[in-house]
Amino acid sequence: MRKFLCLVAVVVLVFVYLFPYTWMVLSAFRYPADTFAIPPKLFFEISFDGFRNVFRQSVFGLYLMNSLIITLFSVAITMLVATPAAYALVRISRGGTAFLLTVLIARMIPAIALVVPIYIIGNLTRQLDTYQIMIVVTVAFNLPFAIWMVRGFFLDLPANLVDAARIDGASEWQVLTQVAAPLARGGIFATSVFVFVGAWNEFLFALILTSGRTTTATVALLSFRTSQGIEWDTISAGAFMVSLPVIVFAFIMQRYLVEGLTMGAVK
Amino acid sequence: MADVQLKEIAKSFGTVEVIKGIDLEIGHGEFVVFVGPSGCGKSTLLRMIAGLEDISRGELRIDGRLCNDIAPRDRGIAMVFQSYALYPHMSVYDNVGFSLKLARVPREERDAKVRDAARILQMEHLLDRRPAQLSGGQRQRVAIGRAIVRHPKVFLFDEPLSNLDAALRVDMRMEIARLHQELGATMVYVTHDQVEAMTLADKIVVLDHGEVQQVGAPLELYHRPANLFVAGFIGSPKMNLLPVNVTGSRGRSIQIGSVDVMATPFDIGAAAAGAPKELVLGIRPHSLRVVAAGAAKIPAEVKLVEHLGNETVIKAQLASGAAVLAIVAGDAGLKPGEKVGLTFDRAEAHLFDAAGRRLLRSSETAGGRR
Repeated sequence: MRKFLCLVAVVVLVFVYLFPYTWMVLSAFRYPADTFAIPPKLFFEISFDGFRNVFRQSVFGLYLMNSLIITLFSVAITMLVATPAAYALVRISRGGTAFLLTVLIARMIPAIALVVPIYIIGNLTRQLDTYQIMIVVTVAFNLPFAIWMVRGFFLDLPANLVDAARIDGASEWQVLTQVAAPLARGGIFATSVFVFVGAWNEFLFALILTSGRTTTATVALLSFRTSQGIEWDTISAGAFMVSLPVIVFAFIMQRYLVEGLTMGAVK
Repeated sequence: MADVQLKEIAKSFGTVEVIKGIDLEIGHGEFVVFVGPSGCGKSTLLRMIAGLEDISRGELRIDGRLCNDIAPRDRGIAMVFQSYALYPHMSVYDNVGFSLKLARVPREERDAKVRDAARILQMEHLLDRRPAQLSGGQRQRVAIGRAIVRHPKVFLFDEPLSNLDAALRVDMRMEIARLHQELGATMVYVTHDQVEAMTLADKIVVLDHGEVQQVGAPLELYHRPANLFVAGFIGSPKMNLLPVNVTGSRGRSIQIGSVDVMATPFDIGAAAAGAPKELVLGIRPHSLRVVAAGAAKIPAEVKLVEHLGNETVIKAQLASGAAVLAIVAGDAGLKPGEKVGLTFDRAEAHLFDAAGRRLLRSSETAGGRR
C-alpha cells in the first residue's frame, strides 16, 4: 500500500514537472490549429514549420551562439574564481565568516534593483551590447552562490588529507589543485551545472544590456510574439532549441551531479 | 635522524590553554610515545611538532633548528595519521610518490624510492591499487610507506593503529618496531593504548590536562610511577588504590593501616617524620597473592573468578566494601563467596600523599615528579 502511494505520488510529480515541457515540445512539432484543438489531439500531423520560421524570421543561430559564448565563459570564469575562493574560505580561520556573509548579502539584492545602475555603467564605458558586459554581470550574480556551494563540498573533505598533503610538501595551491579540487570534483561539476543553467536562462540583463549583436536566445524568443499574435509553433520550436543545451549538459554531467550532490552522505 | 627539543611549549585556543608549558628532549633515533587519556593534549602536541598547529608560546627545535614558524614541509618530518589520510583519487604508487613528485625528484629516482619503500613494507603487489581497494592494514602500510619514502629526520605517528582490529594491531605494532630498528629514525608516537606505549617506546611521556605527568622508560613508569595518575594509567588491569591512615612512625619508617589493611610498616626514609596522616596505598593486581583467610594483611571475600588458563583474575571485596583485583598464575581453584587473605610484597607497593605524589622509599634515589 505504502509502495503504491509512493508510486502514485511519483507519477503525479513527474506529470506536474514534465507536462508543460512535453506540451511545449509537442507544440514545436505541430500546426497551431492542432495545438489548440479541443478535445486535444493525441495523434497529429508532424510539422517543422516552427523550426523553419525560427531561422527564417531571425538569425537564431547567432543568438544561440551568443548564449553559448556568454554561458561557457561565465561558467568557466565563475568556477575558476569560486573554487579557489571557496577553498581559501575553508582554510582561513579569521575573517572568513564575515566575508562569506558579505557575499551572501550581495546575493540578496534583487537583480531588478541593479538593472539601471549597470545599464548606466555599461553606457558610460561603451560596453552595452558586448559579450564582456554580459559575462561580467552573469559571473557577478552567480559567484556568491557558487562560492557557497563549493565551500560546502570542501568542508566535507577530511581535514587530515589536507594536513597530509601539507606535510608531503604541497603548497596551498598544490593542495587545492592536486588534492582538494580532484576530491571535490563531483561537487565542483554539480555547481557548474547550476551555474550553467542560471547563465543560460539569464533573461533580465540580456534584455536590457544587449540589442542585436549579442542578443541571447532567451531574449530572441520574445520576437516571435508579434502584433498579429503569438506564433506558438515558432516560439515552442525556439524554446525547445534553447532548452536542449541545458538538457545535454545536465546529461553529460549527470554522473558528477549525483556524485556531487551525494558527497559526504556516505563516508 | 634528529633530536627534537621542546622548551616551555604551550598552546592556547582563545583563553583555554590546552598545552601548558612542556619541556621535553627527544634524542637521536629515540622512540618516544606520548600517552594519555582522550583530550590530554597528546595529539595537539604532536601536531605542533608537525607544524599543523601553531605554537602559542615556547620553542621547538628539530635537529637544533628553531622550527616554530617553519612550514610543515620544511621541518624534515613525516606523519602517519590515524585515518591513514591516503589520497583516494591516486593509486598506491602515486600516494607513496606524491611527496617526491612535489619535490621534483627525477622520475627514475622517484620510481626507485617508491619501489624500495614498497619492498621494505612488503606491498609491491599493491602499487597499482587505489586506497578503496585495500584493507585497513594495507592502507596503514601505504601510509607508513608514504612517510618512509621521504627519508624524514623525524617520524610522527598519530594513533596509527587505532582503526585496526586487535590481531592486525599486534602485527602492525611489530612492523613499526621492526621499522624503527631497521631505519634507526627518531620516532614520536601518540597513542591512548598503554600496551602500544609499553611495547614500542624507549621513552614514554605521560600527559594529562596538557601537562607532562612523567617521562621515563616503560618499566620505570610501571615500577616507579611519579603520581596517582601515572600509577592508575600505566599497567593493565589498573593498580588497586586503597585509602590508608598513618598510625605511627619510628625513625625512617611509618606504620599504615585501615579497616581493609592490617597494620603494615613502610620505610619511606627522611619523609617519615613529616608524613601526612592520610595516604593512598597502591598495589598492582599482579603483586597481590592469595593466601588462606586470617593469614594475610588484607582479609577479603572472593566475588568473581575469571579463569584465563595461564592466569586467574580474582575480583574480591574488602571489609569496607571496596573492590580489588588480584591476578594469580595458573588456576587458583577459588570460588565466589570464599573468604581469603591477600598479601603483598612491600617493595612492590606504593604510597601516595593527598596531592597524589608518590612517597619515595629510602632505597630510592631517583624518580618522582619531573
